Amino acid sequence: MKNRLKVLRAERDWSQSDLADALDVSRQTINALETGKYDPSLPLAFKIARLFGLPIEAIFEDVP
Amino acid sequence: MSDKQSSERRTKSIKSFIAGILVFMVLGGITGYFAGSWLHTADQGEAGLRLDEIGWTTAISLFLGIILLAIYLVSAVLFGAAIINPRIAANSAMTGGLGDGPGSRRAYPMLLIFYVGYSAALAALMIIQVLPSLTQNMQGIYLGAVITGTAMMAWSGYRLWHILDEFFRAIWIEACALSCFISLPIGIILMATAKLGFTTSITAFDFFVWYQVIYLIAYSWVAGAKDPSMLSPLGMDDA
Repeated sequence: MKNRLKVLRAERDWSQSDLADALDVSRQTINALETGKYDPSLPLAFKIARLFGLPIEAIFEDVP
Repeated sequence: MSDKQSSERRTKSIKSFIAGILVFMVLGGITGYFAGSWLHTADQGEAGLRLDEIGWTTAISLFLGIILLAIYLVSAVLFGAAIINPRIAANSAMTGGLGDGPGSRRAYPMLLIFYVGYSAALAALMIIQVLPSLTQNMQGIYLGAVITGTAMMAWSGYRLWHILDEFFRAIWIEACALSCFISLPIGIILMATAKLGFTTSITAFDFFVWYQVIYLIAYSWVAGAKDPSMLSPLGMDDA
C-alpha cells in the first residue's frame, strides 16, 4: 500500500518524532509506514486522516 | 539529508556493524573455548555431571541455555541503562529498535523486569534440569525462583503489550507465529522418531531451549524486515 505521509508531513514541516507524538505511536512506526514496510490498522488510519483533515483515500492508496 | 551526509552515515553504520561482528566473533571464540573445555571435562566425568547421564542433546541444550541466559542478562543491563542514560536509549541496536521516545521510556522499566524474571526462571530451570543434586532440601527455593520469574515475565509482558504500539505488537505476533510454524513440525517429527527408535529422545527442557533460539532468530528476521534501522546504532534518518 502506498501513502503520502512523508509529503503531508513535509508540508507541515513536521519531523517523524512530531508526527509520532501527535499520533501517540513510536517513531519506528512512522518510519515503517513511510517506507512501506508496515500498513496501519484501521483505527490508526482513521487517526492519521483526522490529524491531517483529509479522507483516508487521499492519504493511502491500495496498490493491487 | 544530502547525498554526502547519507553516504557518510551509511559508511559509519557499516563500520559499526563490522565492529559489532568482530566483537561477537571474539566473544564467541572465548565462549567456545571454555565451553569445549567444559564439555571435555564433563565427558570424563570431572565436571560434576556426566555426559552419559544427561546425554548429548541436553548437553547442547544446556550450552544454548547458557548463551540465552547471557543474552537475557545483557538485555536486562542494557534496558536498565537505557532508563537512566538517554544516549544508550537512543542507540537502536542496543535497545531493540525502541530508541528514545515517550513510549519507549515507559517500556524500558517493564523490559528490565521481564529480562530479570526470565533470567531467574531460566537459571533455576537449568540447575533443576542438569544438576538436581544442588536442589536437594532446597526444592522450594528453586520452585519459588521459577514461579517468581515467570510471574514477572507474565506481568511485564502484559504491561508491554499495552505500552508498545501496534507496530511492535505486529512484530511480536509475526515472530511468534513464524517460530511456532517452524517449531511444531520439528517437535512432532522428533517425538515420532524418538518413540520409533530412530533418534534419541529429547526432554521438555531441550525443546524449550531450542524453541527460544528459533524464536530469537524469527524475531530478528521479522523485526529486521520491518525496521532495518533496528540493526543500526545510528537509528533512523528523519527524512
